[in-house]
Amino acid sequence: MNHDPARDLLQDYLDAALDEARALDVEAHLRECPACRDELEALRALLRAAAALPRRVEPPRDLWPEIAARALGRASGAAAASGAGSERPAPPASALAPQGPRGLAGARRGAQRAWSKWRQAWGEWRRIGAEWRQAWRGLWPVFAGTVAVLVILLSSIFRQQEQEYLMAAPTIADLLAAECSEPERVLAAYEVAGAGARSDAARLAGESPDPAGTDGAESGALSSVLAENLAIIDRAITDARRAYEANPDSPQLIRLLAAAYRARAALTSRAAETAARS
Amino acid sequence: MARRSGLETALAALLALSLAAAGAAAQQEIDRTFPLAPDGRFVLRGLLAGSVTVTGWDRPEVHVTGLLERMIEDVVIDAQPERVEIELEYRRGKSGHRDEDTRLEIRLPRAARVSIATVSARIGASGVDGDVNLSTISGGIDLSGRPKSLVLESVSGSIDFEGEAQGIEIQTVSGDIELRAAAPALQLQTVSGDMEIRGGPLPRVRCQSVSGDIDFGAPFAPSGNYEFTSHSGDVLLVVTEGTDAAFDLSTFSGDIDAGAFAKAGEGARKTRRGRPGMGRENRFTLGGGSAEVSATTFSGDLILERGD
Repeated sequence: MNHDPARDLLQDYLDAALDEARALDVEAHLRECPACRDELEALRALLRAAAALPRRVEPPRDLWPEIAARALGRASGAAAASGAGSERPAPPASALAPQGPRGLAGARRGAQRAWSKWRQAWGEWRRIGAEWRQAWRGLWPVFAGTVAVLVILLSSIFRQQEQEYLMAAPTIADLLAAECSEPERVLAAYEVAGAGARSDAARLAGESPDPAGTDGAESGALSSVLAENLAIIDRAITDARRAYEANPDSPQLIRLLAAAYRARAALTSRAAETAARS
Repeated sequence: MARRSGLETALAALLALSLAAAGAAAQQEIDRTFPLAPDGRFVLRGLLAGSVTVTGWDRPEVHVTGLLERMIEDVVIDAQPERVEIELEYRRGKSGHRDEDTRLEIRLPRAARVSIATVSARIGASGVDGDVNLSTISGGIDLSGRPKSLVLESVSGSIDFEGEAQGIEIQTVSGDIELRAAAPALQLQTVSGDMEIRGGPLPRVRCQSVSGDIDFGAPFAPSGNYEFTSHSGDVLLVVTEGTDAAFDLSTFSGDIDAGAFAKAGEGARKTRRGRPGMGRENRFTLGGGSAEVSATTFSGDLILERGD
């Protein structure tokens, strides 16, 4: 037996309204289905609670006159509003009296109807959820594919724009050339800077003068001065370049970078002159 | 320790004196005179160690005197009426005698154009009114007078100048620069040397350093133009009473201490901070703002001080 049909039969099972074969089916299902057992137990608890209700409820003495007055008042008001002139007879007091055992049975049936409606609503929600899940299972590849296509498309557009920007953006060499009054010299220094500080320092040390008449210590000191100052300049170039790349709209930073390149050009030129002088 | 006898001591002293005398005798003396036009050109190159002092005089001739160390093998002289060039040639392959120095004293026409290059010899000059171009590696330069134009270069030697010139260009690597000067145009550049500039008037100034400090204490001339750039060195500007200049101070990561000058009530017209790309900035105007003063550093501090 399936789960849902069994649930539908639980109320009849409790009421012993099922034939024997159906009752056996329900019992077999209950043995296997804890959910339905729980539901059956909930129904039994409800019935027990309903059975425990008092057979007759007497309203308090001071409550009934007010209820009767209101009920009678609404009835007479309605009759007056209709304007028919024919007076409807007031309901007998017995009709307004609380229902005894008959009222209790009605409450029980109402509770059962409410329970049944709740179960139907719950089943409907479960069905809708299952349909959504099934639909999502079918749509998931489509959704993932769409997202992937969008990502690829946006990435491509971004790359294209970046490429266009890089093509259009001036290089540091361009900016330096525009900034400096001696672009050739600065660009030459830029090329030298590209060769790397260590090789330059080594070259400077190798080319530093060691003329006759000066001892090795003096020559070594000069090499050291040149190499140390070259390192100072290269650190300045690195700092300024890094800052400029992070703030490309800053004219001050490009001026500082140009100044550092100028200093480097001057130093390498000076080193070459010094070597030639020896 | 055995005590020397008086005779032994006397003999040792006599021997030392004899050796010293022989050494001195081995140093060459030079005393030469060459005619040179008043605005002629004088060139000295190849001097390694020692010193050379140049003095301008009113005669149309060059007078060279002094001692040459023994390592100098030859003195090549090319003397023309319009040009005198002296080149010192050293012996190669032998170490020098560090107890000897070449000491040259040169007198030349006051308006002559002078060009001297040395390695570690110190250069001194005074009373020269022509174009002066002095260069040394580690010797240092000490100059005074009123040269027409001045170009001074040094690697590690310091440079001092006191006087006036039509244009001054000074460049060092690690040598300090100290000026008390007046010139229509001044341009200084150093890597790690410090600069101290006083005097004036100096209406056009451009100072650049990488890690050296710049200390400018000359008055800012009306309508002048001043540009100070340093990477990590500090820039100190001394502002005197009645300064008429617009200041534009900016630094990437240094500090700006403009003191009371940047505040209202001190003649300031405009103060602004925080231009994108530069960490700190301060712009303000003193007086009418006719001079333009721009100071930019990367990490060095910018300091303005009140001067007398």
